[in-house]
Amino acid sequence: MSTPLLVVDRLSVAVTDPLLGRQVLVVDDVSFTLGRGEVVALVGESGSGKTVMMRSLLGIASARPGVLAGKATAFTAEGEASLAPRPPLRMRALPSLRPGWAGYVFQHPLEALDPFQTVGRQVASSVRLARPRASKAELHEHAVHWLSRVALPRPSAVAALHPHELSGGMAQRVAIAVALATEPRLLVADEPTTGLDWSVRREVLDLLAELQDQQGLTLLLITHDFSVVRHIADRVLVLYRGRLVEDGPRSAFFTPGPGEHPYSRELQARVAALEEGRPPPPSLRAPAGQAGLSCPYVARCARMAVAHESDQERCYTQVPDLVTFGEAHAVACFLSKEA
Amino acid sequence: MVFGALLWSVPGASERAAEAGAHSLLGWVVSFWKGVLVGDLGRSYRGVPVFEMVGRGALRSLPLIGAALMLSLGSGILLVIVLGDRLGAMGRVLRMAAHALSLCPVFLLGYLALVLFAVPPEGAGQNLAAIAILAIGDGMLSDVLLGLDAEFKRLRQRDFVQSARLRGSPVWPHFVPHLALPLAQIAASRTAWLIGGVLVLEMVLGIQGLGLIGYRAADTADLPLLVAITVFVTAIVAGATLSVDVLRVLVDPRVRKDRRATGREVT
Amino acid sequence: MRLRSWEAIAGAVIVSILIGVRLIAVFLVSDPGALTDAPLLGPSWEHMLGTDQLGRDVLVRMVESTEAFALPGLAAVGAALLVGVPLGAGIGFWPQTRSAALARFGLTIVGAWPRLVLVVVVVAIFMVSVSDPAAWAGTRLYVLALLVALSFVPQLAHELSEKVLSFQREEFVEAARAHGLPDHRILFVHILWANCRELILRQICLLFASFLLVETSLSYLGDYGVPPPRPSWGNILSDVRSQVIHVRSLARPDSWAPGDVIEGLSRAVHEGAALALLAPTVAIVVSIGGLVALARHFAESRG
Repeated sequence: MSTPLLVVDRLSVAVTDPLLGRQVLVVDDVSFTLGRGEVVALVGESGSGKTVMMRSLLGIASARPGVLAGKATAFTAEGEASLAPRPPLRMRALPSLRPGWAGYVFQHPLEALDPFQTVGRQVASSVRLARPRASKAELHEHAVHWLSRVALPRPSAVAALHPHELSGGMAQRVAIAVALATEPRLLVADEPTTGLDWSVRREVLDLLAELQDQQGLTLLLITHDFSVVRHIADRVLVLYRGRLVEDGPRSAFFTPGPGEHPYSRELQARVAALEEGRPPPPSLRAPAGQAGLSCPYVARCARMAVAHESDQERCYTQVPDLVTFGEAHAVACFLSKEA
Repeated sequence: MVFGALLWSVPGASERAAEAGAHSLLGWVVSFWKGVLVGDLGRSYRGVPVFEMVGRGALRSLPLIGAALMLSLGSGILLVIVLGDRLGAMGRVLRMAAHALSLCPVFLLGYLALVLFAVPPEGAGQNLAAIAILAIGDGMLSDVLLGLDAEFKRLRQRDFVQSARLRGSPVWPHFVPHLALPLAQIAASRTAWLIGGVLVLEMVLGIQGLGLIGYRAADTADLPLLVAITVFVTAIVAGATLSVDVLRVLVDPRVRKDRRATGREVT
Repeated sequence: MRLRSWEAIAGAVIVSILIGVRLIAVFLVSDPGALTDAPLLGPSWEHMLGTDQLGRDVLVRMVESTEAFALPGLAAVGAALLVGVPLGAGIGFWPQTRSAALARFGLTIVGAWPRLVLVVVVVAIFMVSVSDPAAWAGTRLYVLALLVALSFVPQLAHELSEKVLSFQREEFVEAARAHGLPDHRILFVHILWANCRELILRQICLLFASFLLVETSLSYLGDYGVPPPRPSWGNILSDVRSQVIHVRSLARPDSWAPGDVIEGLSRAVHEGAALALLAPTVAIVVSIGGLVALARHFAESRG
C-alpha cells in the first residue's frame, strides 16, 4: 500500500460546556488513516463530533476547545509533517506544510464566502496560494477557469457577482472552487448536500466525485446523508459520541450481520424507514453505562437485548476498542464477530 | 435613516422658547430657520452675534472631540486588534488598567490633571491633556475596548475568515471592510457621549469651547444662544448617525445591490 | 473564568460597603457642617481623615455625602424601571404594531442625546423658570435623578426589547400560548422574570453608576448638583481645590529617591488637604467601578 496521506493517532478534543461548566470530551481517542485518492465518508448523528474533529485537525475549530490531545501526521509531496492541533484562532498559517494543502468546504456556503468580496476575487485569492508569482490577469483567468470546472454556467459573469446574488447550489460550487483552487491534497466537505434541493444534491456529489478523480484528491465527506455514502464513498468511518466505532469499506458497512457495529445498523434502519415513508424504529433505552468506563452505545444497543449476561457485563464495564475483521474493516464492539 | 432629518427640526427647542415666555411659537421657529439660512441667528443677550459665538465655540470644541475619538478608537484598535492575544499576561494587565482608568469621571480626571499635574491654562499642553481625558474618561475607553473586542471576536469566528486561515490566505483583507462599519457605529454613538464629556471638561479646565459657552448661556438664561447651541449639538449627533448609514450603503454590497436589483433575494 | 468571579465578588463587596456606609450615615449623629477650630488638620484619632479648610471633619462629610445619591439614585432606578420595562417589554412583544414603531422612534431621539447635555439643559431651564433656585436644592437632586433615568430609558428599553423579541421565537412561548395561558401578563412573568432578570439587574447597576457620575460631576461644577454646605464627594473636591495646589508644592520631593518621595507625601498628608483630595477620588472611582463590575457579572452569567 502506498504512503497514506494522513495518519490520525488517538486524537481527543475536549470542549468546555457552558451549561455544565466543565469540559466535555467531544472527540474521544480517535485513530484512523486516510489513503491517497480515497473517498471517505465520516458519518454519525448530529453532535457526534464529526465537524469538531475535522476542524480541530485542520486548526480551524469554531469553538474554543479546551484541550487537544493526540497527534496527526500528514505525508505530502514536500515531506511529512506532524500536525499538533494548535489552539485555534492564532493568525498564522500551518507551519511546515504548504498552506492550502487541505481544503475545507463549509456547511453553509453563504457563510463560507465573504459577502463583501466578489466571487472572482475570492477564488483568485486561493489561486494565488498555488501560483504565488502569477499576475493579476493570470489569477483572474485561473479563477474563471476554476469556476467553469465546478460546472458554473457563464463563469466570467459569475466571477463578477457577490455571494448574496447566488443561489444555494451555485454558492456551494463557488465554495468548492475556492477550496480546490489552492490545489490541495485533501478536501474535507462538511455536509455538502444539506439544505440543497434533491437534484442539486446529485449534481454536487457528481461534481465532487469527478473532481476527486481528476485531481487525485483525497476526499473526506462529513455527512449524515446515506445517499452520499452510497453514491461515492469508498470507505466509511462511523462516529458515535466522539468515538470511532466502525471503520471499513463501503460494502462492509452496508452488509448487515455480526461483522458490523450495531450503531451502523441502527442508522441504516432509520434511513431506510425514512426513505420508505415508514415511522422510524423505536429507539431503545437501556440504562446508560458510566462515561469512560463502559461502551458509550450501551444504552441504545440492540445487541444487548439478546446477549448473554456475562457479555452484557463486559459491555457495561469496559470500553471496546477497534478490532479488525477481514479486509481493512474494524469495529469497536465486544459483540461483533467475523462475518 | 429618516429620523436623522427629523432630528434637525428639534421640536424640543421650540418648546423651550415658548416655556420661557418668548414670542409666538410658529413665528419664532420660522424666523430661526430663516436665520440659519442667512447665517444670522440673532444676538445673544450680551450683544454678540450668536452665530459668531457658536462658531468660535465649535472651533474650539469640535477638534477636541474629533481628536479624542481618534485617540480612543486608535488605542482600541491597537490594543484589541493589532496586539490581540499576543501580549498575554502583560496585555491583560494593560487592558485592566485601561478599564480601571476609564471608570473615572471626566471631571475627576480633569481635576486631577489641574491640581496634581499643573496643566497650563492654555496651549498645547492643555489640548493634549483634554484630548487624552476625553478619550479615556467617563467610561469612554472601556466602551470602545469592549465594543471592539466583541466585534473582533465575532468576526474571527466567521467561516470565511477561518477559510482564509486554513488556506493560508491573508486575513486582513477580510477584516478591514468588515470592521469599518462597526467602528463607525461605535464612533457615532460615542460622539454623543463625548459631547457630554466636553461640556464638563471645558468647565473644569476653563476651555472656551461650546460647552462652557452653553453652560453660561444656560446660567444667564440667554435663550437665543442656548437654542442655537442645542440645535447645533443635535445636528452634530444626527450627522454622525447619518454618516454611519451612508457608510453602510457605500461599503456593504448587499445593501447596494438591493437598491438597484429587482430585489431577487435568492438563497 | 476566574477573572469574572473575582470581579463579581469585588463588585458585590463594594456595593455592600456603600449600602453599609449609607446606613451608618442615616444613624450618624455628628453634624457634617460642624466647624471645629482646626482647619486643615492632618489625620488624627479625632478626625480620621482630617479636616477641610473650614475645619469640618472630612470623614463625616464623606459619609454624609452618600445621602446625595442614595435615595435619588434609587428614585432614578425606580423611574427608569417604571417607564423602561413596560416600554421595552411592549416593543419586544408586539414589535409590528404602530405604537411600537412610534415608541422606538421616540426612544431613538431621546437616546441620541448626550446624557449630560440633556440633564444640564433641562435643569438649567428648571432653575430659570423657578423663582428661588436655592430653595429647591433638595428637589433638584430628584429632578436630576428623573432626568438621568429618562436618558437611560432608551438603552434599557432597547436591550430589553431585543431580548424579549428573541424569546418570541422560542418554542416555549408557542407552547404557553397553546396551553391557553390567559393573559399576556402571565407570559410577561415567564419571560421577564425568569429570563430578563439579569439584564434588568445589569441595567440597574449601570444606571446607578451613571447617576453617581452625573451627581458628582454636577456637584463639582457647582450650581446644578448638591449645593454647599451639604456635602457631596464632588463638592468636597471643589472645596479643597486651591488647598491641594498649595499642598502639591509642599509635597514635591527634593529628589526622586523613595525615601524623599515618601517624606514629601507624608508632609502633604499631614497638611490635611491631601486626604480630602484622595478620599473622594478613591470613593468615586471605587464606587463606580464596583457597580460596573457587578453589572459585568450580570452580563456574563447570561451565558
